[in-house]
Amino acid sequence: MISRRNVLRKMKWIILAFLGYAGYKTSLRTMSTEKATQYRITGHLAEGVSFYGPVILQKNGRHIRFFSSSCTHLGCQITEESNRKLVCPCHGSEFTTDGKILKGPAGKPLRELTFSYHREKDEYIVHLSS
Amino acid sequence: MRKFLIYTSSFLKDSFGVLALGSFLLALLSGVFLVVPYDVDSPYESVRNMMLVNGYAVFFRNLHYWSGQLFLIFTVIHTWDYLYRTEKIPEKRGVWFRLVVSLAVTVLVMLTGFLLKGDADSLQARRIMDSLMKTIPAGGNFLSRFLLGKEGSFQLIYIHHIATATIFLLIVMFEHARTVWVNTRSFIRLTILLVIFSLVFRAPLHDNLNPVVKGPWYLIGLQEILHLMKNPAWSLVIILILFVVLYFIPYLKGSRQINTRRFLLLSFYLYGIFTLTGYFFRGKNWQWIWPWETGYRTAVYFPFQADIPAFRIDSALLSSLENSARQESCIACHAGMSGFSPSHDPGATGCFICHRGDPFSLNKNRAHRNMILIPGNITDATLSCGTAECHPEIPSRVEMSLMNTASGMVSVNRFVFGESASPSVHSDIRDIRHSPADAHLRNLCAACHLSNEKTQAGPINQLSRGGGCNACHLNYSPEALAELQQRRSGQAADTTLPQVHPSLSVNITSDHCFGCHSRSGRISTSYSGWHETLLKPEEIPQTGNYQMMDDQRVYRYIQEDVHHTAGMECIDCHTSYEIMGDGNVYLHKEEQVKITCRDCHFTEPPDAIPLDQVDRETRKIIELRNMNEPGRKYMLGKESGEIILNATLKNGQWMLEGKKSGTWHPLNPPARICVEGSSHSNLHCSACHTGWTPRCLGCHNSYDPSSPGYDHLRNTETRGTWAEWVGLHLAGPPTLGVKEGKENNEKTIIPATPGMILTIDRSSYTGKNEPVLFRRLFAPMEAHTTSSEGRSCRSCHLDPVALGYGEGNLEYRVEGNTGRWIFTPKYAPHQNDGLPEDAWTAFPGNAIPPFSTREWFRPFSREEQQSVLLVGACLECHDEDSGVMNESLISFRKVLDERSRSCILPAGSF
Repeated sequence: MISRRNVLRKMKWIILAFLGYAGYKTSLRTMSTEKATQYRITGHLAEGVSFYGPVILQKNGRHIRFFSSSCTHLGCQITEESNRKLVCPCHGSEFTTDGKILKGPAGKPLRELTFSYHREKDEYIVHLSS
Repeated sequence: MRKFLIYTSSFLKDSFGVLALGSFLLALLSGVFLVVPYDVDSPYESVRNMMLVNGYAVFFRNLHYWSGQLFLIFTVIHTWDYLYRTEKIPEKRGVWFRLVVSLAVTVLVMLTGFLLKGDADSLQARRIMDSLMKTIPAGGNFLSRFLLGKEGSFQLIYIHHIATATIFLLIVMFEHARTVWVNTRSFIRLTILLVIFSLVFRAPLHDNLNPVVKGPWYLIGLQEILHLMKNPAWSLVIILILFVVLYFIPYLKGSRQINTRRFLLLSFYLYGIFTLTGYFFRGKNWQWIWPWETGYRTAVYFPFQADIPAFRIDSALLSSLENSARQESCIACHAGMSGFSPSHDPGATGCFICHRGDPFSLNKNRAHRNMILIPGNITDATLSCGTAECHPEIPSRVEMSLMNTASGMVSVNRFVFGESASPSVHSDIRDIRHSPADAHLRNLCAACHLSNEKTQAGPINQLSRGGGCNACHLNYSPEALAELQQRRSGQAADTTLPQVHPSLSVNITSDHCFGCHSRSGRISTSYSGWHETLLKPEEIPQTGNYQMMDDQRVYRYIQEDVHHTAGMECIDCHTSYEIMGDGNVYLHKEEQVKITCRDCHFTEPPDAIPLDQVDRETRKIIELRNMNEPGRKYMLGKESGEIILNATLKNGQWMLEGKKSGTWHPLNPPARICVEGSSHSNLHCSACHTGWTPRCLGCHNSYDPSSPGYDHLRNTETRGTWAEWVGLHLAGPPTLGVKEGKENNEKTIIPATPGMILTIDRSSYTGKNEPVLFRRLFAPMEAHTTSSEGRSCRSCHLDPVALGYGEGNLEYRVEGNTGRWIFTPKYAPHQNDGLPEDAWTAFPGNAIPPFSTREWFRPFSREEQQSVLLVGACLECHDEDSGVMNESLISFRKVLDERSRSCILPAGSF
């Protein structure tokens, strides 16, 4: 006998799959506004290691490097330098100031980010997705 | 375990399932009250404001939080309880599946609640969740996007918390229990319990300054486990396996079921250990810290605090808070204080950032609990001056610096006492124990290190020792001092709020350094020209230039350093990296000090760099000192390469600007005699330009077990003390010694002072039959008594003190065609080694090691003495400014080869 309950029971996986697919597509459409892809720093860059939210700057004279401040273990933000080390506050991974691993659990060095410099605005644009 | 559960359940008069449902309903109800005060666009600020000014919202937030925690606890217990009922056939498979899934959703609803605080803990937890979900190979990104939403936005998390997860749980509960209502009596009991709890204990909120971050209490164990996992994706696999195991337990039979339950119970206990570990023993930078270690209370972050919500708030306090740029409870009472340096104005920084306490409570006692009354001591520097927002890179440097470890002082003292084979080892004053040498330090020297805590309000003065950051950066204005004195004298009531705050700034005077640096080498007093005597205050002569310091020591004026005459302070030469350390570990002070005379007194122009190439710390100092006018360049020390921020090229002349005075000083090049020829190329500037050094002779050290003493490391009184019995305090041009370099047989002649001509009675301390130790050790010395005029040729080449023989009469006697040197010492031979009391080496001869407080420093060898005295013989007839002597500066060998027959050189070796 074809009842409403039977139909629903037989089609439940199809319905669930459809809902899942629809949800997935719906969320995809919002991706472009989800994440910042650039971080801008205007003006003077200090020598040594500086922290700018998602970005860690390492400046040695004219040699400038930017690293992601996200720990490669689980993404916690590293916010300070201690004893010339960058220590993740969440799980204790340690990195050198140029991003190399000193101690786990992180298994990869900090991600180095590319950047460009706009002379007119005296602005550094760090590419977070690089 | 089971008995405990039965007892708990019977105490609350209902099953854990009902109690879980009751807690859930209470969480729902209390959550409704938070809808208005909570702002999803600025979550942290809205929660903080609730805590400051809205006691009712605080109460409902507490109720919401604690009922949520109880819901989780009761749900776990109920599930466990359910698994034990082996006689009962479980729910239908579909229902049981949804119940297991609902456990995961329970954690989700809890976690989203945790994230919605928007504090430091929450933000890091969100990043971890995001990363963890993205490790799922298929659909991880989608799951992260679905659960967490846009970066920086809390909207989706909020929706999941109040709707998605909550509705799912309600449906599953209804399906499982066939009701969403709870027995009225049980609900009332639970409500009373939670209301009381919520009136006493506050729901956590991170202050966003403490460097330690912790997940929610039920995930602290997972945080510890993740620390051990290189590939954190495995944690998801383990969690999934646990849920699968949980699902199948009811369908297992006999011993399989029992063993599986045991496995789960064991996992639970293990997880509990991880949780306790993470909660109680993790400090900053994931460091392990025991509760009995110094600084434990401040190093470990405890999210749970007791505090009664403030339902009534004084309108004046409310007004203070509303008018303040900083939203913290301290401002409510302490608004209007003055005296701060601009960088530390509470309008910009608040009070909490330095003083801690509780920034969310308007209860006086609560707000002041765990407050750091005097911030800046080394033990809590990372929580005050060294927080991530202020000076995070400095405490770790200071921690390792010699100002803090006093490594040289400890190592040399142990070496002198025969407890170490070498003075060239690293030590730390904080680690000294109770050997004779260490006890000697405790009684006499251990106060001088930066970790010695400042425990009383008041300015840094001559009697100050240590004090962490305050040692250099604290200044009292006359108004602040007057207020302090009023308070001390009892003129101000205890309830009167302080109005004037001392300032913290880079306004560092030489007076800040005086306390410690007027002791031992006494460079502070020597720099200003004062030499310590053995006179008592009542013995100060009527004539002569004497003064008494605050510690009752009497000083005689000799001659001030030429830089002091020019008005230069200690910090005009010494950089922040020398004073606070540069992150390296050094054994002795001459390693940590980088600045040299030749940095400023050069012949070839040095390099200079613009502001944008200066390191952050130096730049900050430059800006604070207003030394950043456009186009200014900052000189690099000609020899050290260090940035000397107050030196620059000004109108074509290299100049040094007084950091405090603003006075410009020309950087004069060295005199012709200093740089011409090679005869004196191995002389350090200080060998000639040190005006005088303090010289202490004949000190005896013994321990008196009956005299009252003081342990300067612990700052406690002791029974028994080491005492020094001083012989002579002399002052005069220094002895010279040879510093041997590590490379190329490099030798430099530098000043020395008889730092350790002494005897030590170890047996007086140990009680054992030990011989009295005798030491004749000289120390390399930067006396800080620079004179613009260098020593004359005769003052070195004909001076027995300079040569290391000690005071006496050095005579060149010519008999016929031969000459020889004769020395008559002033002081009698010492009974231990036969040398005059003040000598460093024998006349003539080689000294017997150990002869110095450094392994690389020694007196002149016999051959070197011979060379010096050979010139001395010439000076017996030739004037210092004569053509012969000037020519000898270029090539002494040539002068010797062309000497006349009337020149009579010393015979043989002497």
